[in-house]
This record gives sequence, C-alpha cells and structure tokens, in this order.
Amino acid sequence: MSNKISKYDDTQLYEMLSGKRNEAEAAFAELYARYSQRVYAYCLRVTGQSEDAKDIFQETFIKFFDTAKDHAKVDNIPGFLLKIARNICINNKREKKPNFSIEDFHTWTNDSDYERNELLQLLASALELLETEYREAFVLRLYQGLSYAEIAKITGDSIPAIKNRVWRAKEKIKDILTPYLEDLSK
Amino acid sequence: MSYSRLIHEYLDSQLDAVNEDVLFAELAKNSDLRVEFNQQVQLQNVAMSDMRTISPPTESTNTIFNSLGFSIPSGDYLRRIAPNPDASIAVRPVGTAVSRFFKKHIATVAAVIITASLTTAVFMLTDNRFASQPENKNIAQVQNDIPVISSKDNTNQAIQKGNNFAYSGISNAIKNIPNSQESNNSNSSNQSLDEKPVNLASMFTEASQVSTTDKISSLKMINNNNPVNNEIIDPFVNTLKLQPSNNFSDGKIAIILTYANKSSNVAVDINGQNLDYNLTAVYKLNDNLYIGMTAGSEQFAMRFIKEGYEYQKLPNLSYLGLTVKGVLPLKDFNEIGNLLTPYIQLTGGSTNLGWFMGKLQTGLTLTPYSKWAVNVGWEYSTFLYNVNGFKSTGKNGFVIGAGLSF
Repeated sequence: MSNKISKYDDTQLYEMLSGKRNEAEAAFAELYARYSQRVYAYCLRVTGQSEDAKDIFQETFIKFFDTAKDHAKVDNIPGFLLKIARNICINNKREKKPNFSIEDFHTWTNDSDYERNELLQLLASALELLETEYREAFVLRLYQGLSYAEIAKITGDSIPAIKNRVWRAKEKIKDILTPYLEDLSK
Repeated sequence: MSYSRLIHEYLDSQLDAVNEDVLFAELAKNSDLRVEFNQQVQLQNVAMSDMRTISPPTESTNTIFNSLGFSIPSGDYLRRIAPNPDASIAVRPVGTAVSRFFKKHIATVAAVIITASLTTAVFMLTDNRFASQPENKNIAQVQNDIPVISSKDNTNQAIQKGNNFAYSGISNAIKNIPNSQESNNSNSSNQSLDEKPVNLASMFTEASQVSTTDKISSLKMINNNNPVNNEIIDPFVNTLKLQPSNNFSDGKIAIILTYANKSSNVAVDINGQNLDYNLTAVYKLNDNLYIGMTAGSEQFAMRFIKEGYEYQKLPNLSYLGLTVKGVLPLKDFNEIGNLLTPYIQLTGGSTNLGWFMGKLQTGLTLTPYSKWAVNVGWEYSTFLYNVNGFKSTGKNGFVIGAGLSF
C-alpha cells in the first residue's frame, strides 16, 4: 500500500474502486482509514448497541464498495457512507427498550473522581433514551460535524426540521446530564 | 426565542448578528444564563470528546477486508488518520491506566516478548561462551577426520595464532616451510599483497603441544577448504550479526542498512576486523514476494593448500547480489499475526574477487509500524572460490536487522 494513495481526494479514490484490483484495494483502504471511525461512531451512537453497530458498520462498507463497482456517481463520500449506514440502521431497526430510566441518572452520586470519561458513558447512555430521529440528528450534527444541508440530504428531511431535532435532542440530553454538567462547569 | 435556544444557535454557528448582540447583552447581566451557557459548552465538548473515543473494532475491519478479498491494512496505516481512541479520556487511577495500556497494546507487548525470548535463546545457543566444552569437541572431530596440512615432506607443519602477525585484507596466510632457515628467508622474500608466509617451524616451539604429524591437534573446527566434500560444519561459531529486514506492510520500496559484528565461522587463527556492512534495496512485487539488490562487505575465512603449503585467509570481501525474499503473512490469524511474519530470503552475487557469494536466511519479521520493521532469524551464507579446484567456505548464525520502507 503506497503512501502516494493518500494524496488522492475522495472522488478520485472512489473512482479507483471500480478500476484495477490493486488500485481498488489501495483506494478502499485509504477511504476506510479516512471515514471508518466516523461511520462506526454513527452506528454505535445511533443504535446504542455495539453488536448491532458492528454488523451495520461492516455491511455499510461492503455495500459502499459494491456500489462503487457499479460506477454509481457520488460527490460526498462521507455523506454517502453515512446514508448507507442510516439505511441499514433503519432496515435493522430494533426498538429495544433501554434497561434504565432517567431516574437512574439522577440517583447517581457525584464522587470526586467521577470525571469526564464517566460523563462520556453517561452521554452514550443518555443518547439511547432519545427517540431515533433526535438521536440521529444530534449524532450527525455534533459528532459528525455535518452541515444541516448535508444532514438533510442524508435523512431526506427539511433543514428547519433537522435544526429543531438537534435543539430538542440537546435539551433532553442536557436535562439528563444537568447535575454532571453543572459540576463540570464549576 | 428563548435565551437557551439563542445559546444553542450561537454555539451551532447559526445565530445572526442581531440576536448575537441580544444574547451577549443578556449574558453580561444574567448569571443564571452564564451557567446555562457553560453547560451547553460542556455538552458540546463532551459530545466531541465522545466522538474521539470511538474507533472501529479490529474484528470488524478484518471482516470487511476479508469479505472483499483485500489485505488487511496495518493498524498503523489506519491510525494515521483515525483519531486515537483514548486521546480525550480523562486521567484514570494508575491501576486502571496500566490495565488499559496492556489491554490496548497486548499484541505489541506479546510480539516484543516473543522476539526478545527468541533472540536470547538463539544467542545463548549459538555463542561459544554458552556451549559446553565446544573446543574439545571440535578438536576431537578434527583430529579424527581432517588431515589439515599436506606438504612436500610432511615434516615441519603447524599453524600460528593469527594475532602474532599483522595482516591486511586478503594478505593473511600461513605457509608451511620445510625448515627454520628457509622460513626466515621466506618471511622476508615472499611477502606480497595477497599472501603472507609464516614460519611454521618457529611456531612449533611456541605451540608445544602440536605434534609433527600431519594432524593438527590445536586446530579449530573447519567447514571448508576441502575440494572434496569432506566438510565439517560448525553451527556454533559465528553468532550475532545484524541483517536486513525486508518485510513491510506499507510501501513498495525498502532500504536497509545492515551492520554485522562477527566474521566467518571457519576456523582460522586470524582475528577478523568484525566490520561487516551491507545496504539492501528491495521492491515489493506482491504481498508474498520482494526482489532487490544487496551490496556490502563481509569477511569469509578461507583455508586451502597451494603448492604444498596451507593458507589461511580472512579477506574483507565486497559483494553485490540479487536478493529475493518470500514472506508468509499471518495477518488472518490474529493481532500478533499482523505483527509477525515468517520469511525466507535468498541472495546471490559476486564478490570483488570475482567469485560467488550466496546467502539463505529465514526468520520472523516484526512490523510494529508499517514503515519500520525488524527481524530475527537464522542465516547460512557461503562463499565459493577457486584455488586448485572449487572450494566453499560458509557462515551461519543468528541475525537481527531493521529497515525502513517508503
């Protein structure tokens, strides 16, 4: 795998996926290196289940490669990957009830050594309490850093609707994590 | 619109200038709103931190690449772009941090331990200091099997400790002289750039245990200098040297600078300079095969009989050869398989004397980072020369090395 491959932009790499096998392999590895973390983060935080996330993540990249081989035109690779992941998430949607409630968070004592890493775990758990559409909007905006236009393109919803979801998701999570955010902000 | 929403839109880069002024004016006088502001900032920071803690599981990566029939890229290659999963995690108690470190680097730690163990074991096996009475064993074999010196009259023959005289490159030799007077003359008259005769008669008196028979009891084991296949190979003489590592998971071309600190294992009573260098450049043809060139300098001990005299030489040979290397990636097996790769390497070429030199090496390559690799292994090298018929001299021993790819 040559380091030269990293000099190509996403579109060039995507086009190489339908070319010669050694080129396709190198291009795929490069695109995987660039976006696998983002795609997996999306899968993990939207599904809330690591096993489901793994399955969806794997299927996403395999479908992505198959699509590229069919010479489908794509101009935004990360957006395209997330759209594939989202579609698989929807197809594999399992409405699992969370095994804890908001009250669980509020009864948690705030020990002195309870720091940011635990807050991260709480955030992940809090996300699971959100409805899927809010969770997804929050993840795509705050985790992935996508623009509202990009999110709208992925989800097929309007930009104002996405903005509203992100705001509501943030409010809900903030309500859940208020005791810990207050402690952190001191 | 609530102030809370204004804060959200401000942090979301969606707030227009008018509302921004309104928000800041309120923040300046409202302490509760400042708390709200801080909380939203914290939440945003936590979300971004959470993103950085997530990385795809290795098994998922392996599954994807295997499903597509692709080679699995090295962890280093993927880490080049993907963020460090633990980069933003706050400090934990020491015990947890240590445990986390070992959990994260278990494959690397295991590979280092295995490599170190192999290195130590092979070094101990191959170093004379750890062998049980190697000298006596070697002498016995030589006494029984090798008529070391043949001469015109078989009278005064011996060898001399090599460090009793100076030598330069190929200029070391021990020459059998019929008597002491002749030897004195020969010492002064026969010195040339290539050969240096030695008065063996005088050496007899120094080496009191050496008999006048045609067998030399003090001779160390020899694995060459015989036109016929009467060779004894001593695998326990030459031990440690550095050799190139050519297996890299990233990069098509690799350059390896090698230093070897031992000379040939053929027994000559001449001390070597212990300065062997070589430079290897290889090109990756595919995941299993590399091809390239090796140039370097190495010492090979030589023993042969010429015009009734036995010669011992330890020349510094420069060589240039073609290198072919085959590797067997084990990356499909487990994480350690991603780091350790068995290999076999063959080098053949010509020396500055015009004779053939070849090497066969096998071992394991450790690739902790895609650009860097180190290897441990075993090598047999041979040098073929023609003095009154073709002869061979060989070296074998433990090798370690390192290389860089790009």
